[in-house]
Amino acid sequence: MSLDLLSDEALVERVSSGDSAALEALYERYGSAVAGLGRKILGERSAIDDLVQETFWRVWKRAGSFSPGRGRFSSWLFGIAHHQAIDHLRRARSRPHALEIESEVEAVDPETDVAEAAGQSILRSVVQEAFGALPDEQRRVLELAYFRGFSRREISEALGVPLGTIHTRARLGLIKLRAELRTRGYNE
Amino acid sequence: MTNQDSPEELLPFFALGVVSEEERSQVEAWLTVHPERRAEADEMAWAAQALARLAAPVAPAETIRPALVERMRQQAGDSGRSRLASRKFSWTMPALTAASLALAVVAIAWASSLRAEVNQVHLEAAQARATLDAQAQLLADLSSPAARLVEIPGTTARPQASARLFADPEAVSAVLVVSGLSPNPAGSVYQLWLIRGDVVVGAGLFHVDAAGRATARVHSSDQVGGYEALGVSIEPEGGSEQPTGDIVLLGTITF
Repeated sequence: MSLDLLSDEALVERVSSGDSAALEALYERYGSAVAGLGRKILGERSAIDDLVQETFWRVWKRAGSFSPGRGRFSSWLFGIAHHQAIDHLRRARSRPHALEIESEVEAVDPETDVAEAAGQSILRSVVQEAFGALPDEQRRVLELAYFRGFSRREISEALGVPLGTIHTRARLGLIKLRAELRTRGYNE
Repeated sequence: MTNQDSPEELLPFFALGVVSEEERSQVEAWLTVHPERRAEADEMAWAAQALARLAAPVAPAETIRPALVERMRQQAGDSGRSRLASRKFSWTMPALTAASLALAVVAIAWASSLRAEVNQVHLEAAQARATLDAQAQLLADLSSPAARLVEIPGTTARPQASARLFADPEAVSAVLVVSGLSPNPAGSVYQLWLIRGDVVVGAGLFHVDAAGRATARVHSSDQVGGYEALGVSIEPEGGSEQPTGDIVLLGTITF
């Protein structure tokens, strides 16, 4: 069976058995998404490249620890990539981006499968819609935390808002985002 | 983690991946003590990781894939060489090889068992530390020479309720001992509010036990003594930005 036809979860199971072709198939599916996340958080090209390689290397090394019962592979993968990106950001203490989620020019990998790319694009639109449904103040807190790696206190200081309010906004923001995603059928 | 933080309040930031290693350990320990909150934590993490989709995809550098493949190949080669080295001895000393293998199996099993025990001990230590830290902080707040006692009465919505606020006016956290509240209806939580003029600031969430009692920590970014009143309302699980439900406790803070 072609690896392209296998689910993410089936591929990661093969990766855990040492199947390097399965890892390449996952790289094909998610390499550009991880690089995009890297660009949004880190900005620098060299840092993005390091992030992509290290993320997939960790998938290779830790595939056995992935548990389908705790969520989808994509969520696990993005968790690994995000954790590394924030680590790098905090080490470098660089904050290269504007606070707003800027309009970005998509650089499409010519080797990316068109149907796969379309699917990713649809998912992105769904998340954009769901995120856009959040009140501005909640969205702001989630942006500063997730994409800028700000701690709770840094957010409190940046926005000039009491820490307790930041706690509440983050909690309510994630609860509402979850509900908005579910309403739109997002199930990744 | 500082004294004014609680694992429950850290949960969204834990899900967003922006807590320190120490905070991460504390939240993990707290989740093992409160397994009923694990699903909530997973749902938050799921929503947080969906944010990754907001980033527009970009083509990774062409050098990454071959570098990754080479890395995997090298690792496989290293493993292969190890196996080859073992085979050199296998035809000359079969008995020794068999004994070594048996020993290796026993050693691996023993090491796995030890590792599992060590992990369990670490986890239990973290849980105990989290509990002790919380209790020590409560005791410190309650027994502080600077602590003052303020009675907070129930409102007409819950006249049988009452609370005692133990607070150092110059501290940024305090302890509220509550009794006479109704157990939380499903999907609701009691939320603390500190009030100064028109400003109402959320100061923490808590649940009560079956007898309607709780010991809750009041969190503030300013000195507690700078606020004029404290209230408690019933809010949807997760809390609200401003009070929306019945206010069940309300009293002025006078030291």
